[in-house]
Amino acid sequence: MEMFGVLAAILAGTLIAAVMACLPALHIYNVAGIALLMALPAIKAGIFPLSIVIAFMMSLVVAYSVLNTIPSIFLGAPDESAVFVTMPGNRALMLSKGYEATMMTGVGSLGGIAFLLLIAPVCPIVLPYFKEVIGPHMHWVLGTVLAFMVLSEWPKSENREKTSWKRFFNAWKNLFAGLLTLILSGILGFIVLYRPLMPIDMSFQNIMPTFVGLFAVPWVIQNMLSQTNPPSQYICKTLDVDTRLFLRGTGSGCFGGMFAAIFPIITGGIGGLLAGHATAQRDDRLFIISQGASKVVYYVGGFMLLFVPGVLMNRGGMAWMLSGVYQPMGYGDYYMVLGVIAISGALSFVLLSFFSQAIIWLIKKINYRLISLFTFAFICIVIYNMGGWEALALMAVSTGIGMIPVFFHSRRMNCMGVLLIPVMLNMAGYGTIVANWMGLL
Amino acid sequence: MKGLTHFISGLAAATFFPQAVQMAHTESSFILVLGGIFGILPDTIDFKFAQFFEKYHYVVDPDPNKPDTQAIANTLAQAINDAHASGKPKSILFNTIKKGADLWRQYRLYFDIENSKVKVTMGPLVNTSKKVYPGTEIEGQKVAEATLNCKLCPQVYDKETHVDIMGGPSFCFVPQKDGTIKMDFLSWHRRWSHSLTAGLFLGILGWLILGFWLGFANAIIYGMVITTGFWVHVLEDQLGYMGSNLLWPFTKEKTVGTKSMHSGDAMPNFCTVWLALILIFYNLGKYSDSSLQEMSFLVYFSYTFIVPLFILNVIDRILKQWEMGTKEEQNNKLSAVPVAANSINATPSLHQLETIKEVEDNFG
Repeated sequence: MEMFGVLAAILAGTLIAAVMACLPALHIYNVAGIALLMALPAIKAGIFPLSIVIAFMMSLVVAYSVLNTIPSIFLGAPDESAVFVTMPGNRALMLSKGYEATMMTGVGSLGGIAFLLLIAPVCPIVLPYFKEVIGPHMHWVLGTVLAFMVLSEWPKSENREKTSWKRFFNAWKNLFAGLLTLILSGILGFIVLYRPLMPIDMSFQNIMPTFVGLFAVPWVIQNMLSQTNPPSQYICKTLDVDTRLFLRGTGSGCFGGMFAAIFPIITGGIGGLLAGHATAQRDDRLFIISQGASKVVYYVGGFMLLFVPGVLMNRGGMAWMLSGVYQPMGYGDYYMVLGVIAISGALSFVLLSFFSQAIIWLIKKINYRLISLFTFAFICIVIYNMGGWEALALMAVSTGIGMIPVFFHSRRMNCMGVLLIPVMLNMAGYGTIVANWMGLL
Repeated sequence: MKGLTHFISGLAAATFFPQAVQMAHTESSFILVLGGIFGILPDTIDFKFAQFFEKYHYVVDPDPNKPDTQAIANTLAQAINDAHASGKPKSILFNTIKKGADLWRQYRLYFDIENSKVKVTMGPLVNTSKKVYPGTEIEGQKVAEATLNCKLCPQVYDKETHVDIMGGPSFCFVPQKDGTIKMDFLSWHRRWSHSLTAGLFLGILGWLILGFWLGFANAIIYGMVITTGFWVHVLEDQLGYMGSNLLWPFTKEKTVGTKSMHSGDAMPNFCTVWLALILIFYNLGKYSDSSLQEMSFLVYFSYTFIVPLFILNVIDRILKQWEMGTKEEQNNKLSAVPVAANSINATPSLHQLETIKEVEDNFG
């Protein structure tokens, strides 16, 4: 009987997350947080067995991580983990190949799921070592990521000005903008973490308006201002991908995703960035596949770590939420979770095709800029409902920072300073000193 | 090699100093990050600073609406001939042809060493990812040639150079004693910034600066981490084609690399990153009193590097054989189909295979 319950939970979780993933700005962690709050009395009363809750929540994560490419590519409203797909995705959209690009991320996602299932038997052996060795070194690992993000951004100028200094300053515009974005995001991160603006009952959503403002709203505003409408989209029957490309894309995506899943604060977007650099990617297809794999391994792998026997690692919002009501129970739960990942992953891939075609139909029928306007209004309504005017104000400030990379063509990932800088300094023991300087304590 | 590869290699080199690892472990120090920062610094110096301050004798700036292929070829030939006639080095910068926010017109430069000619081909439009839009070539003269008054040295780089996105490439033509002209591609790249002496100098500078703050005895480790990170980059670059001026200012010329790889090659980059990661992990475990200390390095290295590499190699071989089989099958099928039908398969793909060259990669 419980098995049918688990299967029903997988189906329900996958379907709900598939719908939610298509709506911009609605992060599945927020939806899951609210659902868990509502279901808490029933869980405590034993009405919902924990296995069903686990299956439901894992399915939410799996389906969300597979389908959240849709708003990134078709609506230009990515969450942080999918921000790198937006640029090549948008290019593909303008070439009538938005569907193909979306399905390529789906292929990468399937590869990511297969990778997680393959490494699952090794995780209980390797991860305890990893935790023991890396645990005391987290602060400088985050520092390393931050340093690489700054140093690996190269000038994007045409080098055409008459004098050397003019050439230099023109080329450094985007680098200065990147640094400015990183510093402002870091300051904002300190304010948000030390002086939360969200109401107490929504405090677990504290970072959401900031993330939406930094990553999603700037794209939507850009789409609203843009004069271009995407052409009608071609629904392909096959993908322009061979085995080698699939393996390379998936391999690099899994590499970056795993890095992001294991280290705290490193997100799927940063993982994708590192994966791209590690394997010297030059092909849009390879990049898109790797991003599909990276975000699935980041989201699902991060949550999966909670269930690995003998490891006790809480990574990602979902693990933090569930760990309040659940303690890992050994191999039984672990293997059940792996089954859930496999089933939900397969279902999500099918749903990805269906929902992509639905969105294509929508953007064909309705003016693209109007859709962007609706998307923007929807985002505002969601944020207002979560935290009122304070949350909207926070989103507006974050949007201001998130617009800097749009204007200066610098890297949007610099916005991740919002978490990286305060958390890195907290881990090294300097967080409170800086917060004190800023008058936040 | 790619930036991340240099960065992680520098980081890995830093973890070979037990004192640095212990400082990171017990004092929340960020000293290891210095290894990574100085690991990527040589390219940072060149691509973020040096390239903007280079002076050029000739600048090619084609009209975006009516690019003159012959004029480009003539200017290129003139720069080489000028170097030969004057006996002095002459540099030339090729600007890109920007057609839109994400649209560029590609053109290619070819040095015909045997016939002492240069050839310029005006290519199609490309986007910023260098993806070609087929069928967008210009009308009129697409290919132009110009004859040289002198012989060119045999090239160490690939002969054809693409000029497409962002800032264009540059050359410096240096007259040689035998009367030929040597071509120095991106002459501002890998000069003093990629020398072992610069690494040593920066290490000493770091030691002195930090010495005033931390005490000169305590700051030695910082200097060593800085120098090691920098040197790893310089030595890794010797695996490619370009080489560098290793002992500047004592030597004036760049040495030629070992030509073992192009910096953009995926496998060498991935393997180096992987090797660096497992070395970092091993060193952290070894110098931080973890249970990993009990494992011998050979066993650890076999499990984490040799076995995965072997598996990768096997997969690669299987794939190659399978791809060859598929290709043969396709060729057989195609040969049975009339030519007109074949052309349907030639519809432009969204993505096309591109050549990854060391110089292109460094430039991007």
